[in-house]
Amino acid sequence: MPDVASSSSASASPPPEESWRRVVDASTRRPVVAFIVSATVWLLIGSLLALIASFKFQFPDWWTQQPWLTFGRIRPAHLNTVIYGWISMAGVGVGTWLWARLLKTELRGQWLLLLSVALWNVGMVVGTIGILAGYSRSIEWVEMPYAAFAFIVPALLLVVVSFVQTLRKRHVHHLYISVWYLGAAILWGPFLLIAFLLPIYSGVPEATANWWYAHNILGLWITPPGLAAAYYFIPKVIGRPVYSYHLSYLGFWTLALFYNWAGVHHLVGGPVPQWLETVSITFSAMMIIPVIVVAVNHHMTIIGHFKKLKYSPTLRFVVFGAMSYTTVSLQGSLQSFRYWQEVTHFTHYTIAHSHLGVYAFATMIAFGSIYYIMPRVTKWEWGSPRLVSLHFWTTGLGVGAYFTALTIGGVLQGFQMLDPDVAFLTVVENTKPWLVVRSVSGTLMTIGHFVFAYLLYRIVTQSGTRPEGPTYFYPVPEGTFEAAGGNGQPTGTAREVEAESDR
Amino acid sequence: MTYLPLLAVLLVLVIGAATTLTVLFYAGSHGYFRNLKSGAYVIFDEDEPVGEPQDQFFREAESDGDSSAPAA
Repeated sequence: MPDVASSSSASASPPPEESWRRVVDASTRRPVVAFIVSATVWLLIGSLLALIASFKFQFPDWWTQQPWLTFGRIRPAHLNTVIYGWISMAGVGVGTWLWARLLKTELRGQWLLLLSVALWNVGMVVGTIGILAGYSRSIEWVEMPYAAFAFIVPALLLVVVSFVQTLRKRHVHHLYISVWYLGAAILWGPFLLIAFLLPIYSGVPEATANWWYAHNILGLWITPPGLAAAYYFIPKVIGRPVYSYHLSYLGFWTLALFYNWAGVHHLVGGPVPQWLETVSITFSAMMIIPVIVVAVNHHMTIIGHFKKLKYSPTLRFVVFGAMSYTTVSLQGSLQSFRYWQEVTHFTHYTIAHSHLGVYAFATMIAFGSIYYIMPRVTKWEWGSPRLVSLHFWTTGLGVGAYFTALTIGGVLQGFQMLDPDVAFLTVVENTKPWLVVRSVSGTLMTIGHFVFAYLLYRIVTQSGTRPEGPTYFYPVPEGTFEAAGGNGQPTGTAREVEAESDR
Repeated sequence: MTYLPLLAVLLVLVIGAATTLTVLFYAGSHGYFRNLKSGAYVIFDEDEPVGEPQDQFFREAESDGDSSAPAA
């Protein structure tokens, strides 16, 4: 463990040098598998709820006899299951593995994390049933009743305790950029949730706090693990360090300073003080800085290695997610402006944007990360490259079609709603074709999710014959993954590069 | 209607910014931003060096003749 040896703040004896990765990975096995499997179950539930909600646009009289099957309950149930059940739990699962790996120490508080998974799942069951039974709080992104958060908040705090314990026992001095992102999310996530659950808001202030929270939970809780994973897996899979490590720090700190102020742009045009909206729009525009920085860094890191996307599932999913991050973030900055909101507010455009963020960016990176992590914690390989490929294309094409259709349909819808000569029912009729695409693309994504769940089941249970070699989409030609090189960058370990720099 | 509760959000914003700046300056003064060039290499080492992609779980294990041992 050369970098461990070179670190100055080693707090305990490191694991044996030759096997430290094996020891560290083994320490994360149970919590990581528990979080990822639970997340996938909630992904399936959330997907089915989404499909029901979407098909109601084509068949509005379908399943309306039972109150719990109406759109007003199914749709928020979908939102909460995928946000708190799927992507949050998947983020903690991936983050847990990365945390121990990057701190080069065994995971501490494994049982705390297992207790956290249990509490989290109970909270999700209570919350989902609560929404479907009519006990929604009617606050978007936080519809689950308080009883659900009585389980989820302690679950989050247990994760914090485990992460802090592991951090204190780290065997590295330098904290890799992914550690900063993960540490920040672990600090910001529970902080945001607790601040918003305080029973002090009502009326317009509640709406303001609602969108401050909802926007931040995306940007400061869901986004950081995604970027942390991209900063780790892209360099690792292609065997080349990040293009500019300085830029990565600039990106992190500008995100940390700017993002928190951006959420109120969701209420542009609403009964919110103008100055509050203007401050929010200003910070939204300033977010262009971290976005460009991250985009340049990821692009310049992968440049020259694009052919590897053909073979590596991890790389393909993660790069898809990283490119989506750039798109969704630039779109987010631009659409915060008042003239843009005049058209797109209250249209399907917003739904397209949120799926580009939570799905095309965060979810795709989560899939890619899981494809890398699971073989290392289960000591088994993925069962079928064809099914992995099917998973990629159904989800990739699905979210692509979803985003394109609802963006175009939403903009047209916005212009028509601004036109006093167009009757509202005409606007509704004109959105129908785009909503059909929504249902078809949602079906594609759901098929992908079931394929992924099947693959996950196979690898967790170590089913079938043990696959030989790594899972690639195609047989890799000799030399493709050889001598990736630094492409002009220094080669060697951190210690050797540091010594070279000092000379 | 009172906007007083918004003070809670504004307070969180200010506390958040202050905390972020404090951590930033603390990290800077404690050397976390020194040798950033080498920092990018901490995910690589002798058994997973630069130039060798790490997407190949069983690669080393197979070459060792022990298919049960992970290589990464």
